[in-house]
Amino acid sequence: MTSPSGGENRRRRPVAVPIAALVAATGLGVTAALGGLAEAPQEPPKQLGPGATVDQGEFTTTFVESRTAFQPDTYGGPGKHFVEIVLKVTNKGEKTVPVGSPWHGAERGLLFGAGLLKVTPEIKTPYGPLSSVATQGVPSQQLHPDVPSTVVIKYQLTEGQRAPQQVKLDVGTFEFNEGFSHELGWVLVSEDPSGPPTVAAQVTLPVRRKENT
Amino acid sequence: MGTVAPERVAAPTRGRRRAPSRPRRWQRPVGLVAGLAFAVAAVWAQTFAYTRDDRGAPLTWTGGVGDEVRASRVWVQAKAVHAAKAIEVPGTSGKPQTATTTGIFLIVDLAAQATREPQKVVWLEVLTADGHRYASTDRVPETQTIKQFFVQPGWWVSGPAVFELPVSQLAGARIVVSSVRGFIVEPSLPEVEIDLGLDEAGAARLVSEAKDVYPLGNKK
Repeated sequence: MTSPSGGENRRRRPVAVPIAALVAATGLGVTAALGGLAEAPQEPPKQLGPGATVDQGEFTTTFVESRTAFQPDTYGGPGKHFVEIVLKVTNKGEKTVPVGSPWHGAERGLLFGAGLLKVTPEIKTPYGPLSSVATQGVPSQQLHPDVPSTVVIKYQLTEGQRAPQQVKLDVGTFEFNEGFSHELGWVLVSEDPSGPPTVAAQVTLPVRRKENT
Repeated sequence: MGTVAPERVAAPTRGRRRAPSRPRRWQRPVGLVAGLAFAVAAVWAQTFAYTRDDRGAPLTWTGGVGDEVRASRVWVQAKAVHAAKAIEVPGTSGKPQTATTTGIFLIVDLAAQATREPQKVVWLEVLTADGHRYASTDRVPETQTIKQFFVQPGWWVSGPAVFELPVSQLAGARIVVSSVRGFIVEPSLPEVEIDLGLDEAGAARLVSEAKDVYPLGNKK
């Protein structure tokens, strides 16, 4: 009874543990050789200029120009000065999306504007940036699918503030999130889930000065 | 009396307990087949289950132009379809303004009636053949469209719905009308989907007949 069972025991050598140890050691070695578990250096955002087009996932956006604008008061007075950023936007999604508003100070951007992460230098403006879809006649707030639209973002300058020589826009991208239990739709791409959205491109636009501004 | 009852109960129990200890030869294959059949039926029944997309989807009543489409909360009828290159709307200061578009304006004359409670038509969109959804345009103030009215039971109210879309998307377009779309999340909200009956030729005719300027609101 005892001798056959002893023979079986001798045949089964405990190889699993040494093999596992070897695999683990090899894995560790390879990882260490490839630079360890430190985060790979992020690609720096692309540096772009006027006329550049950025694929933002949900939108294709061309950064046309930045300019100053002046709106006289209806009943006399100092009038209002603006810095405007002009974009050509095509909604590549399936639904109409309102333009929303870009990020401004502590305020999060909304909808299309959520993809415009930061403007440097920061332009102080009393009521936040205003965005609209311009054609002649009646302005709109909607970006319809597959319709190229001109979006104008206006920053009203506070009194005594001069328009900057140039503005630099941090641009993010969107990706469609299927979600776990229900669809989340288009959300901003963020490398670090709890951190700020990733800057995919930085677009520098010189501010064109118009007469009488 | 009390002593008789337990005996009666005990006798059949003993008999039943004996049965499983001696399974008949045919019972095993029958059991296997029955189990397999149940498993297949269960898998097949899953095809009737709501998918994830169904769960969030509305209940849709469909119809064509001229039909009185009765959904659970509203009755909707599309009476006529027009196209226009520009739309004249009364401005805030009384001076009429002209709204323009890079595509084309689609105007659908709608009539609506509530089934039970007063409603408002809060959501209007065009659903195109390739699945794009164009919300009703905001270049026309809501006070000039059917959105302005309370839709009541018992009588029809009429007003236009105005959309803005590329000319190429007209063929095969449907409109979606819904009276509820709020913060309160209700499952299976009702909506009415009306096929505008535009094939390629119909769309081309609509575009060729498009008015240069369509006056809105100051007709009646």
